[in-house]
Amino acid sequence: MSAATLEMLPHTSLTWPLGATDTSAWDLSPLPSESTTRVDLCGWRTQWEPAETSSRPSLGIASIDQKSARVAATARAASRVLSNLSRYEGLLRGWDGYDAEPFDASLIHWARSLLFEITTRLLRADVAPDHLTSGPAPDGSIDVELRRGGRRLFFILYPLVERSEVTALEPGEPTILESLGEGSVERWIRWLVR
Amino acid sequence: MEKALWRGGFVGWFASVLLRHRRWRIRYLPDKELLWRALYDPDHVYEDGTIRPTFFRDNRGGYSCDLARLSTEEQSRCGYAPSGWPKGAGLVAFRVGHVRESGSDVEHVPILRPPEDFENYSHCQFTAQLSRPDGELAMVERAWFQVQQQVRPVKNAEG
Repeated sequence: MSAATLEMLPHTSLTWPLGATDTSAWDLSPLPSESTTRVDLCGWRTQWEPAETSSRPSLGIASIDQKSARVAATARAASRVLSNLSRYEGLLRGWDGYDAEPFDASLIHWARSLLFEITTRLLRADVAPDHLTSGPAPDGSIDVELRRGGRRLFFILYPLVERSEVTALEPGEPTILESLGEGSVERWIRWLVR
Repeated sequence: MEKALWRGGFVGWFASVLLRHRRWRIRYLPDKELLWRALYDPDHVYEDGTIRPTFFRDNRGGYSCDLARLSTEEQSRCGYAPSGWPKGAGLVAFRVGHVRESGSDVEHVPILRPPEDFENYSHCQFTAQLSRPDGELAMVERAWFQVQQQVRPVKNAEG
């Protein structure tokens, strides 16, 4: 992970349990031997630390607040996409066995920025996508795909910014294809989570 | 001669041998004709093994595939080029009609030696990028694995 990416992504730290006051709902099963769980995604750090475990009842994973679980799921998904994007940077011409284009460093950087914006908006909306993936295409473009419910959203990034587009699919509705412009991410994430 | 090619049995086989020998370019491919393209890159499949739409995207045009009638599963799967493709490569099949429904067309563009350093008489190309908005997705829905790929999908993210 480059220093630039680390700078780009914010650092967040969540301490578990978040505002849990009703101890009757706590799972009193023994904790796993590793009492601290960290999801480190190159800048997005989510951390659960059962504080003062000696004076509080043991907490199982089942009692984790649903909100922090959604944050963790989104963060984990974004982390994997980030590592895939870094991998695409190393793909050489012909990586698909035919004559696929290599990926431009600026395109990868743009995809990372887009991913950051998507993740931020998902976290703000307090929604975890069912599916968040990225995929490279032979023509040097990159997809960032999200799914939620029956909806599918593709952000298709081309080395030429003007060509980049959004494809939105919903069962029973015509496919929407439009250029990726300012405000597109916000609008389409809102569409996905509504 | 082209009409004879689309017939099955001995007539079709004989026509294919003659066309290949003369290096004739086939002018029109019927909708029902089968096309093959090898898949070996793990980035082209989802974790559940299904094909990603990016597999069918090539905005440069000239997306390569092989006309099944003039090739063999093994040759198309392993590639005609001397370098070849990995053993785990799969073979994705679709029909000429599927490409037309998705907003493009297919033409026969044999690779001949010379000028190339290998020969693939079955080689075809999409004439243009799929123009339908959901063209790639439509192709993914219609295509199937003629030979299942053995590549391990890249661990991607599911929320």
